[in-house]
Amino acid sequence: MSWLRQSAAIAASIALLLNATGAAAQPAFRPANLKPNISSAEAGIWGASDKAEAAIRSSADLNRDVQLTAYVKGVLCRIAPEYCSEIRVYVLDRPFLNAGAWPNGAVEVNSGLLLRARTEDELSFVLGHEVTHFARNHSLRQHENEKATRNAMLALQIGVTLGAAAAMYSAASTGSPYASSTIDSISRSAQSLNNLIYLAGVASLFAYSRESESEADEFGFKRYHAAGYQAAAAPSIWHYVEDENAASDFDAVRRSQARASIYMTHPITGQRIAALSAMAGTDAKKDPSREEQLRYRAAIRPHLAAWLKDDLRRRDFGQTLFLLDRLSEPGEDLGVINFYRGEAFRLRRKDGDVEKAVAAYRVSVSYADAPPASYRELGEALRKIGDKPSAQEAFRTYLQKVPDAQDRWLIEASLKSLETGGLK
Amino acid sequence: MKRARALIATLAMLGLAGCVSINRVPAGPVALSKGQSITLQSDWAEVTPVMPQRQNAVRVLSIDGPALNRLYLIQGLPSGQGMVKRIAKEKPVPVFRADLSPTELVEFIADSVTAVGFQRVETSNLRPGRFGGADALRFDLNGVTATGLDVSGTAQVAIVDQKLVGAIFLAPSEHYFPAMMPEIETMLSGQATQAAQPAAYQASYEERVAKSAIPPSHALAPPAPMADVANSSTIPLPTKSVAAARQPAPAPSQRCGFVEQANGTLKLVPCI
Repeated sequence: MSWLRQSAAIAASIALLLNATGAAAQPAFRPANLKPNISSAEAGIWGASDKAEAAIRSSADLNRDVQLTAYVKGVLCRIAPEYCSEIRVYVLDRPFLNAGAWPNGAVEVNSGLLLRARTEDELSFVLGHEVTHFARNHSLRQHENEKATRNAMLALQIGVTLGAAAAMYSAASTGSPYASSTIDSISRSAQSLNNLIYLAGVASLFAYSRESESEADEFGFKRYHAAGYQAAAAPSIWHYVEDENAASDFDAVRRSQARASIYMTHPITGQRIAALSAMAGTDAKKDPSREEQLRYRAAIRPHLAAWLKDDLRRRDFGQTLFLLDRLSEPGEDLGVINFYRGEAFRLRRKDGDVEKAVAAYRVSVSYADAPPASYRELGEALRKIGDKPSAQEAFRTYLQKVPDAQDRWLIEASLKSLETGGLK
Repeated sequence: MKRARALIATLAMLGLAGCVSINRVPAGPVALSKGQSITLQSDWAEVTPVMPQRQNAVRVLSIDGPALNRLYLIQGLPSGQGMVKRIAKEKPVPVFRADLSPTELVEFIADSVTAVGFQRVETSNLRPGRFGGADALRFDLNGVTATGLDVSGTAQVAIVDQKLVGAIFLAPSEHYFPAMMPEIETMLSGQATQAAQPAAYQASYEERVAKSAIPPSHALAPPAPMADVANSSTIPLPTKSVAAARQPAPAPSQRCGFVEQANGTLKLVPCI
């Protein structure tokens, strides 16, 4: 145990040393419309970013809704007017809460984030965080830091190896009968020290990444709050992340944010919430109004059904059901939301899920925005639990709603079978 | 000189021994299960060994390479298995169940095609089909590769003895799909020993439902209480496809940010 402690202490010391040697100081804000010098390393990184951006433009994930993209860009321009003309926004249909900023000003925003934000305020905080990465050249600095740290690691490892070689030569020169075991011992110590240098170097890179993330949170907060958005939105979206992870079907996801590690790229969610809550002060726990939620919902409504379908395909039904509860809060789109709640139960197939699906589909069809498929799935679920009359009624309504349904022949066959009592 | 050639040949053979072999599958019948088979109209190559995620019951054939055309042959996939293997506990894959409804079966295929890497997969033109003596579902697919190339497909699947059998053909919509379709059409429609009957598939499904594990004691659950907010809006929803599947992107990586890859190129792993 003491060996472990000693090793950890040495690794930490080396990490600190590497931080001091390798880590570039966090940069100042970049001037607007600054283009890198063609001969600089940054120009090379921009070139790589431009290629990646071209790939995004033809990517299958790209959401091509001009209105939606303009909406997100509009929010971004509100919090970062100085960069508005040079930043390009790409909404990607990816069901994970995430976003990213390329060094050349391309910003990716996942549909999973747009679906989970309750208000424009929550979205704007995340965009503020990403703009900070761009404005402070974090990616470029991280790249430079990585190179510097690797060089420092290499220099240290060469030093250790040369020192060990000299010590081994000296031990061999003594002619002592114990020279052989001394050389062996020096060799193993040098190997261990080199391994520690490597681990400490990697830990130092992650530490720099966490510093950048904390800084992006801090300046992102200042930026979006200064633009007039609610202070509570920043801790709120992270609270949501914590709660949704806790609702996951999978242990690995539930445990993902429980413990800090020196090999994490981001501070743990709890620390971020604490820091953002402190910045928000007394406003930290203020809930958004229904009107604020509905205003934001109007912007994403055309994609709600498709994004929920994407989310279901992750097959983490605990998380999806949690998300659906959150989306139900303002009391709109309940036909769509309850249809997908039913779909989550249908796909999960746990004991009692057929009944839960029936209940959700029933709620769905009580709203005008229920997808026609709600009736078909309600009929199917009712049939499974043996309620033939209700199943027939649901199937008939489905056919009335979608007279040219491509599965009409299947539904008609079902109805015929139900009429003749062919089904249990 | 001869020795040098022999050495080179030996080294080449040793090198190749570490590679997978792509075998020719000659034109002719290929069994899918005891009573079902398809007849290949020309020679294909078995690319199954280069598709590491597929299950044992799934073979993949191609003529011009898997990026240009691929024919999935499902040879009795048992209930509880997916067409692709699960790589991590927290990354589930679509799983076939013998009691899937017709709609769910189409959804399973679309989701599986998505799980092998295609995106925005949609199905259309659902129709009855026949596989040997079994009633089958026939439908078309379209989707996009990760880099945005349009892909078309057609599939015919049936559940025989609680197992899934079928064939799925996928190729780029431009040239490769239309060029291969006559052969694929002959292959799939050639399986009918009698004309497909619209009601027949449903009847066979109902038989399976009757045998399925839903206990008859399951009482009808009381309707859930209505939500207390009446305000709702109408959202137009597509009714064209039975299953429209859009590919979720890969799960967020442990490492994120702007990182240099092993080959020296730069990659952004988005993160907030």
